[in-house]
Amino acid sequence: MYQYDKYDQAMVDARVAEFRDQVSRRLAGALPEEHFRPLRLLNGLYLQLHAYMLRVAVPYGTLTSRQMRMLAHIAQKYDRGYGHFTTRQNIQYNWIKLEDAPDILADLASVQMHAIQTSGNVIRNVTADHFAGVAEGETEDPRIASEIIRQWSTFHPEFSFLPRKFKIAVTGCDKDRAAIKFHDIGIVIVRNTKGELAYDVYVGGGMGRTPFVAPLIKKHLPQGELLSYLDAALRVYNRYGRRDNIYKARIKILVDALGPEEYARQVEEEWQQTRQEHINLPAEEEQRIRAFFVPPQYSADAADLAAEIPGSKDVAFKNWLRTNVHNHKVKGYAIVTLSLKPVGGIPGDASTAEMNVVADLADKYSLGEVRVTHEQNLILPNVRRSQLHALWTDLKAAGLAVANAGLITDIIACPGLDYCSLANARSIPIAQRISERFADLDRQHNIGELKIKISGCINACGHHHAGHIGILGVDRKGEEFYQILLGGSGAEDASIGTILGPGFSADGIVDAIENLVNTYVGLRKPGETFLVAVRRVGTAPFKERLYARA
Amino acid sequence: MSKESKEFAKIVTANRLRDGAVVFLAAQGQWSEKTDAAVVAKTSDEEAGLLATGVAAVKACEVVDVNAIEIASLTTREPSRLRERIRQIGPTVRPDLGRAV
Repeated sequence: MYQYDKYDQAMVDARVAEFRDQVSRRLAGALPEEHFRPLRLLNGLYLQLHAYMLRVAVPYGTLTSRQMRMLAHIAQKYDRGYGHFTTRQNIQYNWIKLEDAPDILADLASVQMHAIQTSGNVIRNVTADHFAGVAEGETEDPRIASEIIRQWSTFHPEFSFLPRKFKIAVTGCDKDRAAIKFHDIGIVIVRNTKGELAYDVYVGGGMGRTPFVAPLIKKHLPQGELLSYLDAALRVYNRYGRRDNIYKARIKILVDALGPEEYARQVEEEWQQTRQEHINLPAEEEQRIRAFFVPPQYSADAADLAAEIPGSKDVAFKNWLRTNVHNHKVKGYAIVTLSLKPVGGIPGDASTAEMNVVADLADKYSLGEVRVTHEQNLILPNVRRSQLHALWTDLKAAGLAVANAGLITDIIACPGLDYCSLANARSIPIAQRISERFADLDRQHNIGELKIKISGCINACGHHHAGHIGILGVDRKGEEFYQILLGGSGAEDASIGTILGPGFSADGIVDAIENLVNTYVGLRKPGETFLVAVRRVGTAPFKERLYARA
Repeated sequence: MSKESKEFAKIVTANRLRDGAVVFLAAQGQWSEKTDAAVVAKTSDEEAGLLATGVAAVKACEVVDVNAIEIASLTTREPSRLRERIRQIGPTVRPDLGRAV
């Protein structure tokens, strides 16, 4: 993992001191709210429905056990004993006091963390494949490029006042676990025709009120020229992005208005300038960063390499192996998903105790490393196969062995109207009731892969456009209603879901979801997943049954 | 001219600057965490008066984000809109963290 050097640490410490002074002046009345608000947002501090909310950056979703313990400590000391892992691999605390915020940032800085780039019209915290560095078939660990982008983008003077926020995601795999094509810029690490490392750059994806799947703007960008190309891509956006209308200010609107070919042409023209400006990272600095991501010393033994995993006759353990354990690039090791979606639970929430348990288990089983997924789960990336049963036993004792990763109860849900000042409807109670309705694990496994994603407003933090089933909460004359979308995907086969028809009341939405699932079960071919079935038959059979009773 | 109406009933809410807690404007310019202490405006003129008190409290660095909200009941002072009811009681999914606790 990347370790701060003295410059990184000095920057973060200076930001803490600066914010401490700003908060002190605000509380003393020397700084009015209209001046203070943008300053607190630069430090991830929002004002939400019930209190201040602090959004802490988890760069590319990677945490050490020590950092996870600090997140638990903050939840316990300054919040109400829990945090919420978000769809951008961050963590949010919901009950923060303004007067405590500088101390929290100081605690975070002590473990090389901060809340910079978690708000405002800047390049936000970069996200990546949560299997980075351990995924089977990976071209290169995307955290190397992510860390380079993090350092380049932090406090970038030219891009600190963009027309709107800007999100970059990176993957090193064909299989997309980072929703690359729904980002302002999505980067896929590939090999060019000569077998050299290169980047495919997608620009102009996004969700919100105008969803777009990003087009490919640059194929096989040479690896050493990443920063000059990103600079060019951002410059064109910074110059022509719509600053007059917040709803049209994201880069996706510009790319759509110009057309991908014209946008690419303008970026290419700009790039001929930026690549002469010595923006690209010197090779020795690239090597310095790369060295932090050298794989650990793996030491699989005969027990790890055995065909059968010990304990796999236990049905519950076997179910968990099927859904929550994934192939590792090193034989004898496995990647494990810790589901934060217990039946009736709040998607993405973790208590202080749970965070501490995860940190301890990371030390015991996973070389001290944890990942946060954009699907609001946690990952232990380096588990020996022979220790899977022991890990599962420990997880079970902590209530973290829910065997539902990728199944219907593994629901993404934004905080919704229970916490968020932008929301129009609640998301979490809908997720809870769906997970209760489908609590039977045998039924979940029979249904197979099905991703439900719920947003409480059009801003789409719950990724409803990319759900196999998407649910969007709306306010209809003071009442919560829920629209259903079908056929979205945030994976490599990215697609935007289609709205089925009139929305459903809070009372009716769970029945509606069950109706869709039953329709699927009735029409699927052997082995056909929900998404594949929807793509084969279209939405008509689902609509017909869903609205027949109305 | 004030708009007199049987239905007109509003209270003023804000977030306390220091900790962000949801508060309601009570008598003598005090801020309370309980709606039943809130002063009710029954005319638009009264609402404007309460909001002026709120703006003064913003300047005095007591609160931020001052708004007048409709209430559904003069007895309970329960807000009309769901959003404000949730602000009043806390997240519906964590009753253990609500205002009664």
